[in-house]
Amino acid sequence: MEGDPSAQESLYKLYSKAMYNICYRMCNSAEEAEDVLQESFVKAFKNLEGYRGTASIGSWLKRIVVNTAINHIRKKQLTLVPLDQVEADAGLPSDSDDNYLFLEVEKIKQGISQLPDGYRIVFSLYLLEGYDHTEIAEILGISVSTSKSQYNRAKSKLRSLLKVDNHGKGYA
Amino acid sequence: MEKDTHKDQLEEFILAHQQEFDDKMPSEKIWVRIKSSISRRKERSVIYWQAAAMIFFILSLGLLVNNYMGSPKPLATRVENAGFMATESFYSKKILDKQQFIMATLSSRPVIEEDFKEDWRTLEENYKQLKQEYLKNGGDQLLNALIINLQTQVKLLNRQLNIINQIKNDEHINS
Repeated sequence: MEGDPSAQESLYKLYSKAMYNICYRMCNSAEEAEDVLQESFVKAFKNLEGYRGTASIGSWLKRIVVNTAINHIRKKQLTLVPLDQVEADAGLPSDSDDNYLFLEVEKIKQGISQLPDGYRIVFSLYLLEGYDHTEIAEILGISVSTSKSQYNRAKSKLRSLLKVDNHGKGYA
Repeated sequence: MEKDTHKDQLEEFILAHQQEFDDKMPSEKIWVRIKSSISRRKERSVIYWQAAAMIFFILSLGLLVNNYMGSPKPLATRVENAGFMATESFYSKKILDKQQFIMATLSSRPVIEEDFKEDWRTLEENYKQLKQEYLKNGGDQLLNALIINLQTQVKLLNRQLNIINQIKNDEHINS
């Protein structure tokens, strides 16, 4: 497939939408997501020989996209939310408050986009891209416990953004 | 690795509506930019291979001539060395200036930068081998080969500068 323009175009058409959405969630910007998507596919076409068929081509592409996005975000000096912010997040809603959440896809998407970079990335990688905390720790170069705590804090923060008021309307 | 199977209401809702979270479409210009980037890469690759092949040919020719020119092989004289050092210094300045400019320009384009570094390392390695051979055995043929090698490096950098200008023009047109 390497060097075969029609095969490359087919691969792009098949996966570009899914990969773009991953880029968008990670970068939180359409312009940056497009840059990352472009860079990822160029890398993938260059390294197609390196694809050994051990994972599906979608998983292989997704890993290239995620790594490229992480590198891109790191250039903007991404920092995970520091541990000392746990205190500040202590009053956020817990799992048991889910009955009071305003669950609607658009509201949740808005909420995710409002999360700090570190929260948003770990949350997206775990829940939407399907990586486990060991894989996320490896991708981001953090410990498994940090990945778990970032995820839980992201979820709490998202809950607070989705919480409904007494009149049944969402705050977000 | 097994994932935590216990899901709360929020997680279950998101997983049940996962496809609805993939609703954005990339603009059509992205594929055009990818195609353009791939074709530029091929063009660069051809240029580097031509240069590398040329240097390899010169290196082989130099060694061959040196082996056939008779023995004992003369060591490079002090005069020859001084001449070579002056020539190398002249070209090194030119090469360094251009190389630094190119690296600075490519720092925002990591994929191209990585390729350029890789190809440049190959050229430098060939040059080092040729220089070691010259310092060991001397001879006009090897000296000429070294000078041609340096001139080739300058030409190569000029071509890379042209490519960078072309990329900038393309980006300006596409933006």
